[in-house]
Amino acid sequence: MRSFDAAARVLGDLEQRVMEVLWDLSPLTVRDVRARLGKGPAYTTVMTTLDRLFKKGLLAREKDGLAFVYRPALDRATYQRRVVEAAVGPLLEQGAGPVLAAFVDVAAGLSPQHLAALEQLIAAKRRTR
Amino acid sequence: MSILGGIVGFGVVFVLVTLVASALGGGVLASAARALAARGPAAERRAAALAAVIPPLVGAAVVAALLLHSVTSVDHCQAHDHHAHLCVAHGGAWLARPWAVAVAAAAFVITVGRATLLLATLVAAHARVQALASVAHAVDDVRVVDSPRWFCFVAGARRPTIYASTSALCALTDDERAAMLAHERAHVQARDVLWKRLLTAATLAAAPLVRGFVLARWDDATERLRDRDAARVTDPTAVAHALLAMCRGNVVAVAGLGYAPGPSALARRITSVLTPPADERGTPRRLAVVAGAAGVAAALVLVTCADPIHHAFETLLG
Repeated sequence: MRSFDAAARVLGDLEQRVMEVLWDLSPLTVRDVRARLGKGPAYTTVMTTLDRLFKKGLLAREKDGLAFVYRPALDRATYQRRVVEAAVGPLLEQGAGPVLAAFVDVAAGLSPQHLAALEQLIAAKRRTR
Repeated sequence: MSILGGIVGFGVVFVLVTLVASALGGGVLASAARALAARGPAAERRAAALAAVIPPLVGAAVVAALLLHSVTSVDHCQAHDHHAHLCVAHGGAWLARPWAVAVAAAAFVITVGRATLLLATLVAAHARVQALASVAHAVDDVRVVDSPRWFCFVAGARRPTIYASTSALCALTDDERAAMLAHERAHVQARDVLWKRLLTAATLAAAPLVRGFVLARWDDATERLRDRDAARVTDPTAVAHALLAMCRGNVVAVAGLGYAPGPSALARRITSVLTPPADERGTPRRLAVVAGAAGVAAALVLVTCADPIHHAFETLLG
């Protein structure tokens, strides 16, 4: 499977629905997936979406006669964990950049001694209140 | 060629004025640190915001005044055979000055580089936040993300949203969790992410070291201000304990690209939330009034003394 960073991009609505179908039951052909999606996308749209998800590394496929059958390359839990890992790391590494406001930016340099000293500071303040 | 020369001439003025103003702003912010700290994080935050916003405004105002003067006043171009002058019609002489071209080109490259970096950061972050949102579970106003990492942050400028990890939420006590979320809700209410982006954009043309310093001061003051906001609706010691607990959980050091608070910054936050100064109310408003009055006075000086200022810049720049 290729780098997950690319796959961490947001899935479109149809891509998400297709993944949900295949996580619930697989392997499936394009026709099977389309049937489970209900009314809506055309056959070629579903086929294109499945191909796109395969190219993103989220689906695996193999030939079954003339048609491809698709199955998820990752189970749902693994996929979600990888999305979180790929997204959270770079976000938090930006620290106090223009992207987010974190409750605690970093713990770099905070030794147990520092933490203990700060704990004592809180305890001292509490006693004087 | 004369128009390009004029752009170089006026560009040099903008660059130099903005650099000097940002250096002065940073210097004032640093020298007034103790006085501002005594007045609380709201005053510090306002002062840092002014130090970020005023320099490009001053640069733009000076260039506007010089442009206006060159367009509306009597044509004095013939009297300028001894040096290049700031004029939209006869600015070609600036192109014959390599230092002026170098200054304008360097400023252009640095500013465009910074803007590109900012844009790329925002685009990449937007995609990551969207990905995170797609796997998060909404619990009231918090998007809960199943993750072993401890985090809680607000993302999104237009629709700021709180993201918190299950690890952080489960590890904190009820009081600490309430304090942490109150802190983040205060960020949401004040639209701090949007302000942070605007200030970052406003400092694109600022002096390099000053830029980082001013933005770091704003960040630092904002965090302490939101700690206070959280303490008002929960309890100061709960906020302090939540800060410590989150630091203990984040044992994996994360190197920040910008300001990264160390032990002293955390100690300052904890001290600040436990002992708020009594006279902090009203100070930010006074600061804004003073800054506004100074801005009006500067505008009046620019308008009434446009001619001597114009000539002073021409003489200064040769």
